[in-house]
Amino acid sequence: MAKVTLKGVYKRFPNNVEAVKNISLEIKDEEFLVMVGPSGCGKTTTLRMIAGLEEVSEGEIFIGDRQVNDVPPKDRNIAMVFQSYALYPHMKVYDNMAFGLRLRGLPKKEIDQRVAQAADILDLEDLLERLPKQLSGGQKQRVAVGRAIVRQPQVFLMDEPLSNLDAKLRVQMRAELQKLHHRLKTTMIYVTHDQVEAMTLGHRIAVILNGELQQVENPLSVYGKPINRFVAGFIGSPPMNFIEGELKQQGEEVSFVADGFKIIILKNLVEHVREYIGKEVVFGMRPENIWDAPSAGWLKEDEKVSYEAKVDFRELMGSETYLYAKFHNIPIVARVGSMTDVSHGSMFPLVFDMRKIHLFDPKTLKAIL
Amino acid sequence: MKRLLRFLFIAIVLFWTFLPIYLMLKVSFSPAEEIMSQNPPLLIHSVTLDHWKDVFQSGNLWQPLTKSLTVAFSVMILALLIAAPAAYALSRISYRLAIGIILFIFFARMLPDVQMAMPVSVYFIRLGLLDANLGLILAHLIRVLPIVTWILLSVFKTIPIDIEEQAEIDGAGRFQIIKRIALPLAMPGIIVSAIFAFLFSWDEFIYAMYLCLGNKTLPLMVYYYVNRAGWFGAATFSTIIAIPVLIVTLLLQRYLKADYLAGAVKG
Repeated sequence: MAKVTLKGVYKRFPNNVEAVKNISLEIKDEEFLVMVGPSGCGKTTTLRMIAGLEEVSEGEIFIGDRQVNDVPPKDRNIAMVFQSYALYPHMKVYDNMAFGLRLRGLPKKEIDQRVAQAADILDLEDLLERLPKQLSGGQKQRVAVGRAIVRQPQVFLMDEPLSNLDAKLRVQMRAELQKLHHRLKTTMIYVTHDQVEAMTLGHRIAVILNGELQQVENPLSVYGKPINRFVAGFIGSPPMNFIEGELKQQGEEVSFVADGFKIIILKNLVEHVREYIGKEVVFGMRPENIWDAPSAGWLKEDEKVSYEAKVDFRELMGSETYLYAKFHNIPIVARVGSMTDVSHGSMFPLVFDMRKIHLFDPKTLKAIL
Repeated sequence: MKRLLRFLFIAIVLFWTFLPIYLMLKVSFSPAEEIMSQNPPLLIHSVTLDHWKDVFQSGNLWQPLTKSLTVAFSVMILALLIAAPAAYALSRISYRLAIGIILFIFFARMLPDVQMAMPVSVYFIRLGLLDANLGLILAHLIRVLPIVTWILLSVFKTIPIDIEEQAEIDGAGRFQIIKRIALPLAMPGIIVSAIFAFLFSWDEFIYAMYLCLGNKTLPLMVYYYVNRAGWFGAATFSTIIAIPVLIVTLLLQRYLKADYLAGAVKG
């Protein structure tokens, strides 16, 4: 068990690409930290630097209190699960799991015991004598995880371990991983591009874009108070609606205005936006804060505003329905009740929950509200 | 109908393949008067061991046989010892650079052997390698190494880097990774290379012609008999040449598995 600390870490590749820029991050002991970002954002490179598979160009990485910049992977006491599982194809499941223990010269009895224990946790007992090619995708994934836990490392590193599984299995393994972490209490660093995985698994989420760390916080904070427009757009599915417009004041009333669209900034929020009055801003609202009229009945009259939008198409999810609509030329996605009856091309009143607005600076992209 | 066609096809291929071998065997066991007639019969009518006795008693067999075996096995082992590490290293650098290096090695191969063999043997005289096993081994390696390196480069290339990185994290050093991961996974390719190197050296003719004076190899002995119209000696020697090839191939082919890497990565 150990914390992992990154101090001003950079990664520059020989072709002058700067894949990771000045990432500083402390992953606490026993924490489950998820690094999330679009593909190519540098999250995997960061993980590989922690693993020792990539050299650190600048900055320092600590595992526990030890600076590990020049420590080879085998001496870092970490275990890693690769996206491809990377099972040794010529070894049986048992030997795949025992490989690392044998290299470290553990007595056979201890190896047997650890493999048996891992097999028990992951339900692999019946597969120990099989070769990887005789396993299904989900089984291979469990073997890869088993190979990591028999090592009893200080830190688990996982590089998109679920992305090769089908949707159903992914949900199941997500729960398994959570249970596993609960049981082992080992520090876990988990890389994914899937923001649902990030939300469900992480104690904290580290959102990375273009090699830079954007925000590290617990999932609800990242979701509810995204630090900038990028984080707001990346976390959440379907993504947050953005509308470009202006902040205007008429008497006491401050409101966001764009192309016939107007939303009053609630009085208790005005203080936070005062310096942007008269300036351009980007308005943001998540689809689940835009309602159909019947569902929005519980909102107070002065907390909501309604606009008729033209429905482009809808996605029936079963428990809910996503409407893809246009107000004038502004595309808006709204989550409405599953029973909502609406036809393509028709006009549909959308109710905006004015308590849930986000505002961003259009130049710095930073969150204002 | 389809099965019948398939059967026919296989029968034709087998006939096509085995007829020359059968004829060679048959000639080596047939009396001279039966073969040297106007219309030699296709089937075996009478069997004689005379030609085999002649060859065994001629004093021409054991020396070429041991020489051929020594040279061929040495070429096989040296080729693997040199080419496998080279190919492994090449497989882990940029592919374009690796191909460049391989093409450079192939340069020596672009000249015909007949032309290469002359300067090589002149040089070998100075080094005292003429008529020595070592000389012939080195000469064969000129031809064998580039091809074996090339084969093994593509073999090592197919091993996913993830597996080696996983082994690295599991605690394996470079040497352990090669021994426990790369070599076992490359085994089918290594076997193919071994068979290729053995076979090449086993029936190589041109360099042997230049570099052997007193101690000949088996192919040179066949030539020796053919030159003297010794058809039966030639057939007998040819049969003898075929035997180790069969043994080596049969012994090694069980390592040739098509799905050796299956199950390593992804679903």
